[in-house]
This record gives sequence, C-alpha cells and structure tokens, in this order.
Amino acid sequence: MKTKLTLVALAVLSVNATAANFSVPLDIEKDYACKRCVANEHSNSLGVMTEQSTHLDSQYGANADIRSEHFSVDANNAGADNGYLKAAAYYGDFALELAYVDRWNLDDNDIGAERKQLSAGAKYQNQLITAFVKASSEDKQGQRISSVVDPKPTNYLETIDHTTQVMNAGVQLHGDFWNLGVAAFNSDFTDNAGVDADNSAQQASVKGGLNFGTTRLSVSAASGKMIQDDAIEQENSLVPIANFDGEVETLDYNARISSRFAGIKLNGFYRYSNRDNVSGSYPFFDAINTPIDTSKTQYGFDASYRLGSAKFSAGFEQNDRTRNDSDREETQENELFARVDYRLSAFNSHIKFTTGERTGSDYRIGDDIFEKYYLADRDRLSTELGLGYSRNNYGANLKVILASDDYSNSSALKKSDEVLVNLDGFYRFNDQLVLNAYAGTQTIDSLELHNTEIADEFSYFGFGLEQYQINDDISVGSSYTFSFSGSDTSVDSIEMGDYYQYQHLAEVHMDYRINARFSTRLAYTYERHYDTNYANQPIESINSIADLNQNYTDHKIGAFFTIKL
Amino acid sequence: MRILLKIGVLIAFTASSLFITPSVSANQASTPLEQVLVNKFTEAKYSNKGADTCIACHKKSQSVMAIFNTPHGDTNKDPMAGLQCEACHGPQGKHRGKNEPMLTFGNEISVEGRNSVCESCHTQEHTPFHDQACSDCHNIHQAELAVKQPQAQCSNCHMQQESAKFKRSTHLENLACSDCHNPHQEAPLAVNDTCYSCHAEKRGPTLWEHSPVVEDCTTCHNPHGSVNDNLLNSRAPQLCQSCHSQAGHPGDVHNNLDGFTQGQSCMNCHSKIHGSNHPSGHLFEK
Repeated sequence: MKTKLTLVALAVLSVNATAANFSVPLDIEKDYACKRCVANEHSNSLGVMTEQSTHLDSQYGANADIRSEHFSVDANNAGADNGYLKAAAYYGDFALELAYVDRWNLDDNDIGAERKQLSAGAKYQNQLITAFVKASSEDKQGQRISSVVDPKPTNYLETIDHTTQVMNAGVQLHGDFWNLGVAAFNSDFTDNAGVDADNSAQQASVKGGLNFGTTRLSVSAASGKMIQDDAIEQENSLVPIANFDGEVETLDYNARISSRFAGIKLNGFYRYSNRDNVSGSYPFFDAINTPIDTSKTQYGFDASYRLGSAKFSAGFEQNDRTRNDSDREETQENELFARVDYRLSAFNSHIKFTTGERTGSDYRIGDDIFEKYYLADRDRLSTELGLGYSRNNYGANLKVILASDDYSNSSALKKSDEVLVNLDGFYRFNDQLVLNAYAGTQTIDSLELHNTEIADEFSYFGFGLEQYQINDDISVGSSYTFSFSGSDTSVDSIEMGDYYQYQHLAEVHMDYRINARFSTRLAYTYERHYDTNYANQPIESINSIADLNQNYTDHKIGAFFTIKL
Repeated sequence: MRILLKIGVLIAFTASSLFITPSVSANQASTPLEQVLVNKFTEAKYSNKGADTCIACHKKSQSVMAIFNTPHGDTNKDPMAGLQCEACHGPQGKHRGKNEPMLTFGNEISVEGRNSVCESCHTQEHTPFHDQACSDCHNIHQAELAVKQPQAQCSNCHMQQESAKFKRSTHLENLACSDCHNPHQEAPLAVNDTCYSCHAEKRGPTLWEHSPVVEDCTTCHNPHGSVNDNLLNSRAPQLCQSCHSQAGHPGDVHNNLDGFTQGQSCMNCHSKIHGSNHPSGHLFEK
C-alpha cells in the first residue's frame, strides 16, 4: 500500500491534471451563410402490421410517424399488445400531448395482467419558467394466483381489475445558475373487483438547484400522505371499527453537491426518508394491530481523480434505518469502495473493490430464534473487473463480478456468494453488416438454516446480425438468444426437485422496398419455451392449480406495410 | 473498529491526493489529444465559411448529415445560427488538408472536457452526479436514438442489469430503464415510491402490515429480474425462512412434497403477505 501511494504521489507531482474547458465561445461572432445546410425532408409515413402466431392471439396494429411544425403523431403497433399511440401539438412555447400505451404481460396460463394507460399533458416552457400538468388513467386487468384456507389450502386464480388515476402538476423557475420549482401529485387507486382496498396518495414537493463555478448543489423536500379508508369486514360483533382510518405521512429530504477542485471531483449526498404511520391501533379478537413507522438516513461522498490515462475513485456511503415493532429497531450499514479505471488507446479497463458492513441495535428475540436476514449483522465484499477493447470495426467487453455476503452466525441466512461474467462484442464486416454477440453467466450460492443450500444459475448467449443490405431494395437481419434460469434447492441434503426455465428465441426478417413510397417487412420468429417447477405437483394436503408448467413451441409470422405520405 | 480502519484508509487515500496535488491553472489537459485541442481553442482559428467548409468533405457521411433532422441542425437557432459545426467540434484550424484533430467526443477526451461543450447551453438539464459524458448516452447527430433505444446506452455500462431481461421473471420485457430510473433526476424517489407508481395496490396502508414490505420492496424482490418467479430473491419457503425460524412450522425442516413446499408454499395459507385488511388477518391469512 505504501509503495502504491508513493508511486501515485510521484505520478501526480509530475503531471498537472485537471479538466480541459471547451465551452462554446460567446465572444466570437460569425455571420455564416450556410448553403449546404439543407435538412433532409422528413418523410411522414403510415403503416399497418399483423402477427399470426401458433400460440398467441393474432395481432393487428397501426404505425405512424408524422411530424410537422405544429404537431406530431407517433404510433408503434397501436392496437396490438404492447403497442402505443402518441400525439403531440406544439404552439410556440406550448406543448400538448396525448398518449395511449398498452403493456401486456400474461403467461401461457393466462396469469399476469394487461395495462392500458391513457394520458394527457400540457407543458409551457420559456427561458424563465417551465410549467406542466399531466393526468393519466390506467386500467389493469388479468389474473394472479391466490389462496384460501377452506378448510384446507386451496389455490385459485384471482381477478385483477384495477384502475389508477394520477394527476401531476408543477412549476419551475430557472436562471443561468439556479432553478427553483414546486410540484404536486395525487393518485387514486380503485379495485373494481373489490379484492384490494382502495387507497389514495398525495405528495407536494419543492426543489432547487444552484450552479456556482464548478460546484453544483441540489436540494429537495417532499411531504406526502397515503390514505386507506376501506370498510372492515364485520366478521363478528367484536370487530372494534367499521372502517380502517389508515394514514401514513411521509417526509423526504434530499441534498446533493458536486464540485471539482484541483483536478479532484467530489460528490456528496444526504437523503432522509420518514414513514410515519398515524393509523389507529385497535384491539381485535386475535391481536392488536401495530402501525409501523420507518425512517432511513443515507449519506455518503466519493472522490475521483484523473491522472493521464488513469482515474482513481473512492467513496463511502452510510445507510441507517429505524423501524418500530421489530426484532431489531435500528440497523446501520456502511459501504466503502475504491476503483481504478485505466485507458490506453483502444483498450480500457477498471477494477473496483467494495466492502460493506451492517450492524445494529440489540436484538429482542429469544436464544432459540435466528435473526431475520435483512436485520442481521452482515459483511459484504465485492470485486469487479472490467476489460474492453474497441476499434472502429470490432470490439469486445468483459465484466466479472465476485461478491459475497456473510451473515452473523445467528442469522437464518448464513451466506450468499455470487459470481457473474458478462461478455459482449461486435464485428463490422462493412457499413451494411454488423454482427453483435453476447454471453453471460451468473451463479448465486446461498446457505440457510437446516443446512439448506440454494444454487441459482442463470446463463445466456446469443447474437444479432444487423441489416445486411443485399441490394438497394432488400435488406435482411437475424437474431438468436438462448437463456436458462434455474434454482436447485437441497434441504438437509435432500434435493427438492426441478425448478428451471429455458428459452430459445430466433428471429429473421426481410425489409423490401417496393418503390419510393411503399415498403414492407416480413418477419419470422421461433420460440421454444419450457418452464417447470417441482411445486406444481398435485398432492393430497392442498388443492393446487392443475398445471402451472409451461411447455410450448411458437411460430410467429409478422407482416408490416408502410406508406410514405 | 473495522469501519474506523476502513475510513482511515479512505481518508489517507483522499488526503494524500489532495495534499500532493499542485495548484493548477483553469484550463489544462489530461491527455495529449486534449492538449492539442486546448491549444487550438486558444488560437481560435475558426473557418471563414462555417459549416459549408465542413460539409464539403463530410456530406457523404449520413451520420454527420443527420444532424439537420435534429434541433441542433436548425439553422435559425444555435449552434447552427452561430459558429455552426465548430461551436461543438472546435475551431477548424489546420484540420482541412493537414488533418489536425477536432473535438470528436471520443473517450480520448475527459468527461469534464466533453461535457464543457454541452454545458455551454444546457445548464438546467445538467446532471452533475453521474460521472458520465453527455455524449456517452446522447448522440446529438441522430434525432431519435435516445427515444427509440433507451436501453442501448445504459447497457454499455450496466451489462449486469441489462442481461436480467433474459431471466425467468423480469421487468425488462415490457419496461425500459427510463420507466423507473431518470439519470437526470437529482433527487430520485425512494425505492418503494418508485414501485408504487405502478403497483398502487401495495401502497396501503393496511390494517396488518408486514414489516419488510413497508420498509423496502427489494428485501424480497429484485426489480430487474430473477431466476425465480415473481422477481423473488429466492423461492418460498426458503425466502420466508431466511427470516422466520421460530419453533413450529415456520422454522421446521421442510424437505418433503407437502403443504409447506407445494403449490404456493407458505402463501398457501398466508396469501395476504403484502398486508391484510381483515379483522383476523394478523397472520396474513385473510
């Protein structure tokens, strides 16, 4: 260590290093008459698409890319799953936007949900002021797995039918060296199926920023409420309340500062977040409910110093938490890191060491009970190595992470070790053909009480061949990815069974320009999907859902047709 | 004591850098190329015909000419109404003919050096806390890159998070990084507030609260992706047993195919694990 610091010191003394300043000069006036600055005319276009699948529903959608001085329309597979339509109008400093976004995420057993969000917003912006207002309404519908004890545990598919309406508004004033703004939001959640309790939330915030030379400061504060006042089921005459008068008050403070001084870049931050649950506490038949208060205080700083081709960084972060009605009401975490980046011509690399520690207040549990893992003392160690090489026509990146979490002997979770490797690269055959390839693996091995060993494994590899231009009118592209996710659990040396998923996903497409106005794309996608879980086996003691495994092969053909207007 | 030792090492590291750093002038370069450019900026030999001089040679490059489809290519506003190409790429000097280097926003220029160009105009939007060059994520010659491919630039550094899109359960199948993260935001939302923006039903408060749920969603879930269903850090009952070890069924050895390991495991009975509103829901069963 001593030798290293001495070498660093010598190097620093030999080089004056700070950032160069290439600001756009204000004192040079040129009256250029640019004859060649001719913008390519944007081609407005409209299109339609359809996808026919052997496994999923047929999709039909519309595409649009229309822009003018005062409005724009952007549609991407609008009408189909995961499509959107956005329209905007501009008039001077005013802008209006309407959007419809669909997010579809259902598995082979129709478990999951589809979200349909409609939003409208207005924005006014000039040199001094920015003001905005935005409203959105989202409907979420689908199914999720739930369970009821009646009298034996019975799993069933529960309906999801949610509506969430949000309103945001804010005003910000800004000058050359400062900004100051206020904002507010209101959110109302309704469960149309009556399963989850309706709730609402409001928050008001103020934030400001200051730039002073190479020092920048930003601060913000927010105060909010989360309210839930649904009726309580009157299962018997002993229920003490008719409605739950639930309310949580939140308070957040943030401050960040960044400065450059004598070649060193310094950052610091402070963040405080308080959740004060002011709901009532009532004696129910089985127990008394205890509203939970939590608070989080985080602060830290880091410094970096650039020295020729190398950059040295180090930082510290403290994360303290409190919560009431807990086995351990206070925890303190700290984390330190040191990192060196080195770049030499086309080669770049970095190495980063991180060490962290969690301690806390005394436990309030018996000797025969293990500590909860998220409260237990923990030592964390991580090493990250990155290597990269990049030329105009080829390049590759490698990242390796080794990390370990060691918990105290009295924790229910003993340890967790992670190894992660990511590799990617590209090769440009010519301007029309680029090959991308990627691969990676991650393993996480954990040890829990009862000699329970959990081995998580994740692997993937694939490639993409971008836009091979066969001639002026035809280009083709292709991609393929294989991914595997698995988790093996053994409890007291007994293997629990299969729990893994894999997927092959291959795609090939061809773009064909019929003439100057009409173009088309044809695409074929192959998917092999397999997902199995030992917990899906039927047994006598519970009524489980018949079959949650997934095992299918999908062939999908897509056709896209575009007209330039 | 260990933390004191660690802090001591860190302070020694930082202080040694501070003390041994000589005083420096306001505009000095950290690479040879940067020094060449600093000299060119000092000489300030701008061309006589502005962008016309540049385009005479660079017009064949589609990626260069694409700027005229972007706000930076609007000839009625800066930079195209001012110094044009040289506003960002520096004075032409002896670039033409002798191929003297221009400022091309490559990695050979320090982050601060590259950002000093953008910060000339974009002071309000600047985010000083992410040690990245603006040009690492924004290619201003292309109109739609940042909008159409919001993932592409993030994955250059965040390969680990990006690869999670291939996991058994993931948020990245339908969401872009920018749906949850705003790299320009100087005061990000608390983790749970970010989750509540889509999962408002988890916001509560509920009559019976589960402590780790209200404290931090990431105690049990990994938002990027997981090899387990529902973004869970591990499967039940192991996930639950990493906290619940009390004598009785929560702490027992569960190594058989029974009601504790099959179906929804612990959630076969404790189905309201995110919180319950039922008068008898203190164990999250109703």
